Amino acid sequence: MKKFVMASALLLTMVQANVMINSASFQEQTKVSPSGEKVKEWVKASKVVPGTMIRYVNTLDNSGDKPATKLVVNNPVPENMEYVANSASCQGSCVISYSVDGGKTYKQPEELFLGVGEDKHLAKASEYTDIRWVVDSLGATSQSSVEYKARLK
Amino acid sequence: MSKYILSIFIFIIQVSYAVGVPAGTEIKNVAHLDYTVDEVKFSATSNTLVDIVDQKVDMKMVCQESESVVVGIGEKKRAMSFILNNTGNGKDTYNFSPIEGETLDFTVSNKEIYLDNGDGVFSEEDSLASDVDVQADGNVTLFLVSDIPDDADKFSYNGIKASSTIQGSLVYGDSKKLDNFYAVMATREDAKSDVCAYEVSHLALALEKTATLSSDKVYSGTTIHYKIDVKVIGEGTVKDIVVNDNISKGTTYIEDSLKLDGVTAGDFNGTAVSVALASITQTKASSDPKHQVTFDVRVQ
Repeated sequence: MKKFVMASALLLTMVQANVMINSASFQEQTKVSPSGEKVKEWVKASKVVPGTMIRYVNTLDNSGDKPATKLVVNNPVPENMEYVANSASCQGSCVISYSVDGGKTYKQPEELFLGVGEDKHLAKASEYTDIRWVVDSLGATSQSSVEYKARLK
Repeated sequence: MSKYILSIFIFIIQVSYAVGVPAGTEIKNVAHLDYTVDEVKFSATSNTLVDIVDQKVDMKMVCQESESVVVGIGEKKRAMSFILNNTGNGKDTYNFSPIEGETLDFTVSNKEIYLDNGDGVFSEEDSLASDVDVQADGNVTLFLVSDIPDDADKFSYNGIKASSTIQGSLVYGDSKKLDNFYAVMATREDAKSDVCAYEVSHLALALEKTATLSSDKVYSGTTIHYKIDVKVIGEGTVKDIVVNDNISKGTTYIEDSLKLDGVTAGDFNGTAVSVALASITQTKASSDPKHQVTFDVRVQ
């Protein structure tokens, strides 16, 4: 038993947690270019009123010298926000799934139902409670991101 | 003009808007990460990202008269009703000014704007509207009250324009910092005002409805005594008059209270009172009421 504890401690000292996750929010803003054209761009969210769509970007930063694997990001949709259909995405490849039960279970949109009996219905995107991204790997000293959009009720 | 069936609709349209999350609310986003390095599992939690909901400053003024307000020449203090809806997500304070529409066959005078005391009917108990607070998703009923000139003819469109204290001189799309969030101006200029029409009739019936409360304000259990003065505008004979009045939502008709000139009369059909009157002939122009219909309701 003593040997096992020592071995585990040794392993942890050798393998360190080096992946950080940082969340940022943006909103769309229309600006007029020098040529007079209206151009839409994402800027840091600062004027958020009912109906505003916010783009949440979670940046994953692996500062270690070893790749991270089996990365799973769970993001509850904030209270008072509604997830915008088909807005979840990621850099590179990933598998995205959703929850309608507060993160207890995650499934694909066509498998998500709410209600019972006659009230049972395919969940609308606005009823999703959580979003999950599963990313196979993130290389050493690399960055990646996952994101979604939600609208303020 | 042989037959009149007149109806009075109070609280015609209580426009309601879902204004959304209140200004000042914190919106927090937190993500959680699980991952593996060399078969060792780790987890991390993101920063707690907080966005504060800003105040959308928005409103809508709506004329509540479903038809022109029929007036007689020389009439005083004729009211037309409006509703101001605060369609923003925070409280605002408003002031009001009278405006004129494009159609002005005559110009009214002594225009004043009153704030309804809660009974939906213009009366002396209403107060001049100034610095009126309206909560998010709330509304107030206003009356534009004017005198009709002696030479009035045809139509005169008049209305009310609201100004938001928060907005001040800012324009659509501007914003300004309040205590711990911004106020974002979202009111289109044309939403701040609306107009109704006065229509002069040289022979018409005019109904003037007044309300008296049994308490200083409208509470559950308050009795509202309504009086409808029936007048003839102009000279001539008006036949087969029936006065109908819908009972306001949230009130209950008090049985047997419906009277014509102080005598029990008419019917209540569950939603409206109805009283048939004899013909009225007026040979000389007068603003004196010819008949009075009265009834009582109780606020639920």
